[in-house]
Amino acid sequence: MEQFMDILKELRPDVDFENEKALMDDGILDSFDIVSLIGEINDAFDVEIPFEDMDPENFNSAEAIWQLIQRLKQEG
Amino acid sequence: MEKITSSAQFADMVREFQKRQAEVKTNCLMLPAEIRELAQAGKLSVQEYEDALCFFIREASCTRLFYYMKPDAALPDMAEWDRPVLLDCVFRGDETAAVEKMGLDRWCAHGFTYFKRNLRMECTKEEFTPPADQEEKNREFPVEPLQERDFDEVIRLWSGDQHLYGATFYTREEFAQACAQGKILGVRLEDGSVGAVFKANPRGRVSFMEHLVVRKGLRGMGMGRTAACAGIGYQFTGNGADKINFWVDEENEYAISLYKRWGCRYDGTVCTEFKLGDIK
Repeated sequence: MEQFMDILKELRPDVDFENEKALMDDGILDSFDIVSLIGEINDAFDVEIPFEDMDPENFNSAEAIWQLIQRLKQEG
Repeated sequence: MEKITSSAQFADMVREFQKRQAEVKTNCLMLPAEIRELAQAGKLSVQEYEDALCFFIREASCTRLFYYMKPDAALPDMAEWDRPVLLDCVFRGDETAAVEKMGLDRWCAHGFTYFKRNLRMECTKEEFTPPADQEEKNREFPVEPLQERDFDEVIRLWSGDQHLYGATFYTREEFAQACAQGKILGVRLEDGSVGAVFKANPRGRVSFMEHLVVRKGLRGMGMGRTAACAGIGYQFTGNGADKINFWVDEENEYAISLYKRWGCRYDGTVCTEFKLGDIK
């Protein structure tokens, strides 16, 4: 999780990832951020996030993204 | 060419294409919600080639191309494509690396040429500083949320502008709804007509300024500046945004300087556009 939080902070140092719960719904992360983040996650954790999972349910908080990574790792 | 009717159809096609390739390059940054909106509006089509999957967004005066392709793809014959076609490359940092990473260099070797570069600017509610004469300008060019009755006039103003994404063209009903949501503001002239239109897309705490247009014959009077400033202010006061962002042509030094004076700053994101065919 620490490595993941570092990736988030490097991507958007201005965002409070510990507390934000509507990263996508509130437009805090835009599509460029999401796609960049997916590339970073792919490289760091060796999971591919499918297009259909790129929705607010999975990207509204750091915790939700982390859970998505865990789920995809288990499925993979 | 096949119409895309749902986000799921788009996802299936991309997934199938990716399964067949060891590596895929793409310039597509769209999320499911954006694909859904385009599909519902009937603005998204696809053409499948052996080495590439090409998605087209139809706009008023051009077509935007988003693709997934093999790194060494034999690119399709584009002779029959409706021109002009625009390719976007959105990136932060090194442009050459981004162009190569997305495979845009191959399209450029295949006929696309550089068109323009847009910088993304942002402004927070706290930093927003309207100019001292804004109130006076507001009296001269009153800016207000537009109404359904303005539909035909606004559509005429918007049409022909290649920088208004196809998804944002409204039906009369959608237009009325967008007006009611404070997404479309305009300068109301004394005769009741509309002199300038400011269009925003508020999403949560961030509002995206999508478009600003001033009627021909009324440009150079400060109407666009007034509409932009009032429109940005309205995103903070009327639409609950904490931040707004927007694209600006990097060569438009006047606009960039103006926005900077209002407290806006470049956020490091660039969209370089490449074209095939002439853009009017």
